[in-house]
Amino acid sequence: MSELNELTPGQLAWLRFRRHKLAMVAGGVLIIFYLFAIFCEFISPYTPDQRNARAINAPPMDIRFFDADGQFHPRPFVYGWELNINEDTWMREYQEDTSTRYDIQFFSRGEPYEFWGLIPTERHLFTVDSESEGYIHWFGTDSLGRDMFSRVLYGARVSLSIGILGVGLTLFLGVLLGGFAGYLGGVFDNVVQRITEVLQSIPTLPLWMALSAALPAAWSPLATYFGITIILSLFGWTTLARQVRGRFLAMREEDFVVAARLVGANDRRIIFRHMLPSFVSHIITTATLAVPAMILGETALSFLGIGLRAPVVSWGVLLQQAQNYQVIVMTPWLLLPGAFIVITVIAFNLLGDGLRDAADPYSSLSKT
Amino acid sequence: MSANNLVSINNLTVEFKTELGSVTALKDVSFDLPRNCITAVVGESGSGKSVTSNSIMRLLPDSAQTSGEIILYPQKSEPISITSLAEKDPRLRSLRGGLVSMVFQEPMTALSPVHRIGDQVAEAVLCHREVSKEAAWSEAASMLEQVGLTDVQQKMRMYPFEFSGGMRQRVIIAMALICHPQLLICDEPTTALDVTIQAEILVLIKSLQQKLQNSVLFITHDLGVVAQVADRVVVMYDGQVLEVGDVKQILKNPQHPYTCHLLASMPGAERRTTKESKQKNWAAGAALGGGTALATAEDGRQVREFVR
Amino acid sequence: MTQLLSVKNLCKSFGDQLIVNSVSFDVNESSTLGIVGESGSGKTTLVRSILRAIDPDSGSVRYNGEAGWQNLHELSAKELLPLRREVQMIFQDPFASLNPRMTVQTILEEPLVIHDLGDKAWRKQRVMEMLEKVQLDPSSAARFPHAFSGGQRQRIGIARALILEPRLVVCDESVSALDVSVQSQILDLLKALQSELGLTYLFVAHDLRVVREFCDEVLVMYSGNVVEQGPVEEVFNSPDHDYTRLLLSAIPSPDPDEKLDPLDRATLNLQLA
Repeated sequence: MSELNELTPGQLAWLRFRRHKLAMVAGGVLIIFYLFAIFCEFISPYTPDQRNARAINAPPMDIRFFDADGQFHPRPFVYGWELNINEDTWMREYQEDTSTRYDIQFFSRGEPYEFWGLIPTERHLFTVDSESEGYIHWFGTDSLGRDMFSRVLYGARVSLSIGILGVGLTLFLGVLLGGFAGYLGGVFDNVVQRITEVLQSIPTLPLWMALSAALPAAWSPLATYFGITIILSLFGWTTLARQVRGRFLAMREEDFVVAARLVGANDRRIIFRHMLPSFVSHIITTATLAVPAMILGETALSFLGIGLRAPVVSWGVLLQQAQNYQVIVMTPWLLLPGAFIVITVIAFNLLGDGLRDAADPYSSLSKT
Repeated sequence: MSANNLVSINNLTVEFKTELGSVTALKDVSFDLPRNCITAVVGESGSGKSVTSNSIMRLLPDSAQTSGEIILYPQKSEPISITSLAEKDPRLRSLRGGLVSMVFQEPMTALSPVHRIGDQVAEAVLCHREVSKEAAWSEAASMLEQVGLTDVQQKMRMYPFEFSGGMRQRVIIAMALICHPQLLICDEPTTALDVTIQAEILVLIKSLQQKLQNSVLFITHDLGVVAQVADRVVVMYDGQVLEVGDVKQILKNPQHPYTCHLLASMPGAERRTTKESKQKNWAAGAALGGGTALATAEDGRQVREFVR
Repeated sequence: MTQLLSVKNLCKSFGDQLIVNSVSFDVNESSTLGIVGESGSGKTTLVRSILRAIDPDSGSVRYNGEAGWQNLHELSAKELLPLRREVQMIFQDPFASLNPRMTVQTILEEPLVIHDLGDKAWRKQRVMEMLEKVQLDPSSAARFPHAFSGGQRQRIGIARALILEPRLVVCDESVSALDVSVQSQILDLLKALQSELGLTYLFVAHDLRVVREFCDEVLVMYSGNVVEQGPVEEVFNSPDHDYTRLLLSAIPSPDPDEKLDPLDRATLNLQLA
C-alpha cells in the first residue's frame, strides 16, 4: 500500500478514473467515434452525395461469412438487392439476390475523394469491387440512394466537431468573464452577473431560431457552420461563467491559497501557480459535461431546418430528412443518426461523471 | 455471563476490501458491554472505535468482511446474534432504533431542516410503536423535558435552525432515547461542540443513564471526557483492544504502555504528574513504538484512512 | 523585554454583526500569547486581521520589526512584502493548507522563491534543513501532501511557516485537528523551535488545557470582546470574569475523582462591559 505514497496527483486521478468502468467504456466509445469523424472520408465506402439508383430506400445489409447454402467463406461478402414492386400496394420491396456474392475488399479503390480536402486518393477502408455490379450499404440508403453509413460518418465530423468547437468557445468566454468577475468583484462582477441572468432567462430555442434565421442564406456551408457554433456558444457560456466564478470565489478562501498570500505571493502567482492548476481538472469536467448540450443544440436547430442545411451533412441534418411518419414505418434505418446522438450524449455524460470523481485530489480510493 | 452483559463482542475482525488490497480495520476484538453501565471506547483516529460501533448497528459498507460474533442479550427476549442476521431480517429493524440507537457527532446534519422538532421526535416513536399521533407527541414532549429543554410545547413547534448546537444535540439524544433502547451508542457526541456545551451534554448523558438504567457505549478520543462519563473503559489502538477495565483503574493505574502514553500526551499532564512520571510514561510509550516511531505508525494509519 | 506587537481598539464587523469589538493587547518578543474562546467568539477574525488577510474597520496593528514600529494597515502591498517574512501563520487544517498538486519541495521552496532568496541549490539545501528541523525524512521532499498523515502535514505546514525565519508566528488552532499523542508531539516541537529560534507565538485555541500548557499569557474572548487577559496561571487559578469561570468549570479532567461540575449559565453575570 505504501507505493500509494509515491504517486503524483495525476497518477492518483488516473487510478480513481480507472475504477469507473462505465466512464472508461464511454471514453473508449468516444475515442472511436472521434476517430471515425476524423477519418470519415477513408472509412466510409462512398462519398455522402454519391447516389446509387439501383438502391433507393434500401434497407441495411447483412455482412456475411456464410452463403445461402450455408457454406463458409473466409472473406466477408454481401448480397445485392433485388427490387420488386408489390402489385397490391405499389411499394418497393427489396429481396436479397443470393445468386451473386460480392466480396468486401479492404484498402481498395473506389470513389475518388480528397482526404481532409487536401490529398486526392481513391482508397477506402472497405468497398465491394467497383468494377462489379455490387454495392455495400451497411446502414441502408436514403430516398436518393445515398449510403447512410457514409453519411452518418460525414455527419459525425460536423456534429462532433461542433460540440468541441462550441465548448471551446464557451469555455473561453465563460472562463474569461467568470474568472474576471470572481477575481475583480465589484462593478464588473455585478455587470457580468446581470448579463448572465438576462441571458439565462431568455428561452433559448426561439432566440436560436431568430439568430439562425438572420444568418444569410447565401453563406457558404463552412460560414454557416461557424455561425451556428458562435450562436450556440453565445448563450452557453453563462452557466460555465457562473460555475467558474463560484469556484474562483471558493478557492480564493482555501487555506493553501491564503497561505500563499501570507508568504507574500502576488496575484499573478496565486492565480497561475495555485488556482489554475486546481481549476483545470474542474474545467475539463465541466467542459465534458457541456459538450452534449452543444451537440443537441446543433441537432435541434438542424432538425428544425434553421441550422445547417443540405448539402452539409450533420446528424441533425440527417434527422431532418427523416422527419415524417413514413420513415418510421417504411425506412426506420434513416433514424440511425438519432441513435448515434443518444450514444454520444450518454457517453459524454458518463465520461464527465468519471472525470469529476477523478479530479478531486482527496476523494477516497475505496469502492464505497 | 449473559445475565450481566447486554452485548458481547467475540473475536471480531473486520476487513475492508479495496482495489489496492484489503485493509484490516479490526483485529480480533473482544469485549463485553455490561448492563446498566457506561462503557467508553477510547482511541485515536484509525483505532477502529467507530468501526466497532458501526458493526453493532450493522452499518458497515458492503466492502467490509466480518468474522467473529456480536451477540445482544435483550432483556425479556432471546439473544440475537447481530453478525449473523440477514440484511432483510425483521429483527434488524427492531434492532436499529429500537433495541439499540445512536447519537452521532454532527448535531447540524442529524436533524432534517424542513420538519419541526416535535414532529421529528414523535416520528421516531411512530416508527417503532403503534400509538396514536397525540400519544407520540406527548411522549416526545416528556422526553424533551427529560433532556433538559424548557418551554417544551413551544420549542417542539420550532425548526432545527432556530436551535443552538447544544440544544440540537439534546434533541438528538431525546430521539435516540425515545424508544427506550437498551443500548445507546454515542459516537463522539461532544466533539463538535464548545467546551461549555460539552460539559452540559456529558452531565446530561451521565444522569440520564443513571435514571434509565440502560447501557451506553460512548466513543471518544478524549481521556478527559472518558474520566467524566464512563464507568468502564476499552482502550483501542490500530484495530486492537489493548486494555479493558474500570475507569479509575485504567486512568489512575494504567497497565498498557499505550494507555500511559496517551495519558502523558494529555495537555496539562505535566501539572498533574511529576516530571519523572511523565518521562516514565513517555518511555513506556516509546517501548511500544512511541515517540518518533509513533509517527511512522501514524503514517500507516493515514494511508489506510485514505484508502478507505 | 521588547514588545513585538501592539494591537489597539481593533474592530471588525460583517454586515451589522460585530465580530471583533475594540480589542487591544500587546505581545512581548519570544513569548506565547494564547487566545481562547468558543466558536463565534471572533478569535479567528482577530488574528486574520492582524495578518492583513482581512481588513479591519478600525483600530491599529503595530509591529516592531526590523524597520522599527510600523502600522501594518498603513503599508502598501509592496511595503508589506518584507514584513511577510517576519510574520507567518500555521493553519488549522493540515489537509486544506497544503496545495495538493505540489510536491513538498515546491511547497517549502515557494516562500524563498517569492522573496527571491538564494539560488536553486541553496534553496534545496534550506528545504532539507527545515525538514530535519521538523523531524521529517529528507525523502519527503519529493512526495505530494496526500502521502502524509495529519501530524506529518502539520509539520510540513510548520516548516513552510518557519523557512523565512519569521519572528512572529500565528498558530490558528494549529493542533486542534490532531490526535492527542500527535498534538503533544507538535506542541513539543513548537516549544523546541521557540527556544531555538526565539519565536513569538500568537496561539489561537479553543482547548483551554492546551493553552494552559503551552502559553505564557492568555486572552479570553467572548462574543467579540476580550473579557480577561493576563499571565496564564493567574487567569486559570483566579479568574476575574464569570465567563472565564464558566469555561474553566467545563474542562473535563482526566482524573475520574475530579467530578465535572459546570457552572450554571443562569447564575453567572455574562454581561459585557
